[in-house]
Amino acid sequence: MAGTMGAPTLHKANRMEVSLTEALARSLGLEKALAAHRDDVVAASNRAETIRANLPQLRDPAAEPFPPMCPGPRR
Amino acid sequence: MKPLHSLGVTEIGAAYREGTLTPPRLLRHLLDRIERLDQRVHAFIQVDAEAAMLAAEAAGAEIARGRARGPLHGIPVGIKDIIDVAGLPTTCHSRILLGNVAATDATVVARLRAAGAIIIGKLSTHEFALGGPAFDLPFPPARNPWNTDHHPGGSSSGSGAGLAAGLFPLALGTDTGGSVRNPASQCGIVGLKPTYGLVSRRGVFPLAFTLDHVGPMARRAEDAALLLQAIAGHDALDPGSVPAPLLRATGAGIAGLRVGFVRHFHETDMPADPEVAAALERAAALLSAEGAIVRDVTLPSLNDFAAVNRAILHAEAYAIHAPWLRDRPGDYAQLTRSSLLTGAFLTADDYIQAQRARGWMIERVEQALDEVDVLLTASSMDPPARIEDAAEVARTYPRQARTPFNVTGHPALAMMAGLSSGGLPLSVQFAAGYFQEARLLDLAAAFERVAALPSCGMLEEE
Repeated sequence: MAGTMGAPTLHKANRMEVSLTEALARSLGLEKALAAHRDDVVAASNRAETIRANLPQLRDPAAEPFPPMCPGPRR
Repeated sequence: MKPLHSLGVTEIGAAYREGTLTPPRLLRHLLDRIERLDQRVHAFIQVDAEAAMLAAEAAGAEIARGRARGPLHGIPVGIKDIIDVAGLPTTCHSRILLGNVAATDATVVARLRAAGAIIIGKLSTHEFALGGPAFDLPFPPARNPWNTDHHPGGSSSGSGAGLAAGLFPLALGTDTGGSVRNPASQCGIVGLKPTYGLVSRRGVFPLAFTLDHVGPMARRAEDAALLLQAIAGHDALDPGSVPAPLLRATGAGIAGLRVGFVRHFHETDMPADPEVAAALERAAALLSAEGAIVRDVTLPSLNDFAAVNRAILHAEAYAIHAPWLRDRPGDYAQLTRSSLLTGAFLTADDYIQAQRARGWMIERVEQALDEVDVLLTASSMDPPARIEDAAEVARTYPRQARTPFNVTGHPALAMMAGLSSGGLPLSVQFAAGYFQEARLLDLAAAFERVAALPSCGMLEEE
């Protein structure tokens, strides 16, 4: 794959410490969710870590996000 | 004559033209049926009987005057409740949007009205088209007409359940991670996710902007094709809309078709239930027996596709829901709240890496489609779980092969492929090149003819 898109590689899953999850949630304005639905907040953080761990990582630095920037009139 | 509720669109249109049936008579029959059966399947959030009858009478009068508009004239259509219908609430099956009355029709609804279709009501969905069946919402979840102890798939759950039960002949669904094709698979009907941009999303509550599609659902492929014809086309008010010609179904058969069988999706990436795997083998054998050239094809791993779909979906959905998650988190179902909060913990890097991988995945699918005409894959890896078995629903819901084509934007169709030993539908998925919807619909119609598929017991009920 070298020279094309680059072979995807995987992260290793690292669970965020719950105290960090809580601090991040508060910084995002999710105090109400944290107060009443703490388990859901922690589960969401763990789910995000799992998704991150499974995301293919492209090696080619020039691989652009899709869809590419496409200038032009909107209508 | 077959029972009115089991007629297809072409049969209804012929009966209208012959004068043996009128739109008001068909609608009254369906409304009576909804009154009797919907308390078992919960396909509807709101039946709009009065407006539907006015539309049916107007359609009947036009047809009687010889002014038939086309194949959908006088045909009742159910609308998933994340799609705006002017004057009706768009609740998204959520407490958050109770009382949110749409001021105007979504483009797809406006196009249906222009074609003479009758909007019969708003249909159940998973809350905001995400998650799974939930019992802590203002409306009950839809149930599977093949066995109401089981879920009907989702998120377009009311669309699938109502079609299988014979409550309406056509429905609209939406599909961000497989939500048209899941209920099509679990309810034994046909659901098509078109090419991204072929059908307008204006007036549809977004789940994830770059993954969302509106798609036709029907009991048979021919009807899905007619519905797609009515709703497809460029819409300047949808920034993702593409001005592309829609190829009309040709009635072509299976002989000579080059089919790429993506076995690794269900054999190694996400091993399927043995009955699902057997149904896929039977489908491949049937296609071969009809003259298709079936060969194995390799795509990126299903787990890679799923991770990319999830990263993009959760990041985009969080951007939409963050204000409500901050202020009203208790107004979501627990399942939806937990799922939507995921986006708060994804980074900009996660989102961009997913979008970069998306380009690589599109390239890989396009390379495969250089060698074959269509792809054959699993849709759901398991028959539908019992709806009240939350653990089994949670285990089986992500076990599916639909997300690849939301990531790449290719058209994909799911349909029935037989019955499990428990009497529940098994399914297959076909995917094709961009804007090759006609090829998929032709194949699905041909597959229906040769596969001798059973119909739902509830459809046989008077």
